[in-house]
Amino acid sequence: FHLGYFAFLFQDQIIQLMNAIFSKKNFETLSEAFSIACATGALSRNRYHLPVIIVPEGSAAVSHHQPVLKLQVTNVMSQPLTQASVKLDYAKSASTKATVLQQTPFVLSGDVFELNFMNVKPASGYYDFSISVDGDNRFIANKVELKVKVSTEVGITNVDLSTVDKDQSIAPKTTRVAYPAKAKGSFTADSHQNFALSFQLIDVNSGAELTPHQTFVRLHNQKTGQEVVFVAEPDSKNVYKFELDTSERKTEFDSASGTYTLYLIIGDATLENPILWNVADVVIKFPEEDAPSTVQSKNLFVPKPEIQHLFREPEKRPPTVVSNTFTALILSPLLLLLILWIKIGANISNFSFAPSTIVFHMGHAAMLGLMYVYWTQLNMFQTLKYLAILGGVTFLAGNRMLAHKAVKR
Amino acid sequence: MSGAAGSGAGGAGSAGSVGSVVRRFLAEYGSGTPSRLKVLDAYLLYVLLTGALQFGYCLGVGTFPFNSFLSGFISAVGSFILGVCLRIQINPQNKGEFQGISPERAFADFLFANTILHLVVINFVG
Repeated sequence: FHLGYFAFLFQDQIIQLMNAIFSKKNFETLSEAFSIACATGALSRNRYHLPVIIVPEGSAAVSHHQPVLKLQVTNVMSQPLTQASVKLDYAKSASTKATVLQQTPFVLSGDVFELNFMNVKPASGYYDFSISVDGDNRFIANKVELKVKVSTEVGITNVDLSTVDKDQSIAPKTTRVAYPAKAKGSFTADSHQNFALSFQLIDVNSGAELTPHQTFVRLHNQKTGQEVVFVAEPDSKNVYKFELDTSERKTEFDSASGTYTLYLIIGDATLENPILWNVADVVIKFPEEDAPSTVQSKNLFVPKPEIQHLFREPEKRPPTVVSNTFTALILSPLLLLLILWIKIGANISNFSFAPSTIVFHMGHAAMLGLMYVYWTQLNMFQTLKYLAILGGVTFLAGNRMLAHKAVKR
Repeated sequence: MSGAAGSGAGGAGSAGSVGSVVRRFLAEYGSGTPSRLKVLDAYLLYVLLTGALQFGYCLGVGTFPFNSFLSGFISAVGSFILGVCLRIQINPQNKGEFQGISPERAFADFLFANTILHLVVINFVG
């Protein structure tokens, strides 16, 4: 009973240990490399636990040209475990989470295990695979999850180019074009007719409708080199539509009239054949008053104009003469005070040279000096520290001195 | 302050009476006030003038280092207030109201409060 518990605990620890050992790829000393090799040997040949390494051969992608998913199932010494039985537990679509295949064994072919996934005719996209390897009680880390891509080829159908009259007085003229041909003749979009494009994208192998990530319509001005790219959006029936209204879009074009080549760009991670197709030529006329004289090509990669930093203006201060005068002026009341004191007859004739008096006056003077030093150098914490010491001494001396004075009175 | 000043405050008639009131007040003050209080009064006058000068300067040239102006002005105002408190407590005519506080104790309080005030002032003057 205890053995089973410890065996279970050890499994996770061994997997972590294995990840830690193999995390470093470059070794500086031969002894390090030897230790790693020893560890690898021990992990691949022992009586208790054998970690299993499962990696797809090449990239984990299948398609009609490449319908077989190949897996390398090895021990940590990269020796193929040809005696094992590899099974697909389930394969679910990553987007719809529907299970397309389950409990299917992989077939051993040479040193790799194979499975023909395209037999179940999966739709294009990503799938989550859960694979388990059995055959030996010692196998650990033998269940993995893998993301597999199924790619396909796209076909464009029902491509219709039309000029639609804005007032809807004339019926739209529609031309159908077949990929990869180019439409004959050119189409015009100006102030009273819009240009429209519609098409459908299907999977050539299954006939299902596709919605790739990139469906762009690119218009390239042949004379000025401008290009403008729009996105064609699908409607509810997955039919892609694009409409060009000259009055709405004149800012993107900088109102440059002329002949534009129309390209259709289709791309996606799951498509084997991305498409760049010159569909037609479109003559776009913008109202004359908006046309710029020359079209500047917007070069985005030149240095921008330098920003001069505006330093904060120092505050206006009064001239030094004024402030020096004021400083002299402020000392005049002090002078007045001394004169008044002398006149009144204030004196220090009662000064007794007892130690507490001297200590008190010295301490008091030191506190005043500390204030000056605080102003010039110290911070509050240091000042409080010194003030506590000086203040304590001065207080005790002052207390003694004033008590004597009170007694004398 | 000296209580005798009130008696000379009657009669608002001719312009000379203000001058005579002031002269009377000064005479009473000079004779009736103990010299200790006169010393304190001189100190109070000094602090008052200093504060007024600071304020006038600030009005004149603007408040640029505002914290410096504030700290100097508050130092003047605070010292004046503490001086007035000391004068009240020391005045022998007020002895009845300050039973437990001897003049020495009042002076010690004055010094302590001034220390704290000037600690804050120096911190703020920058």
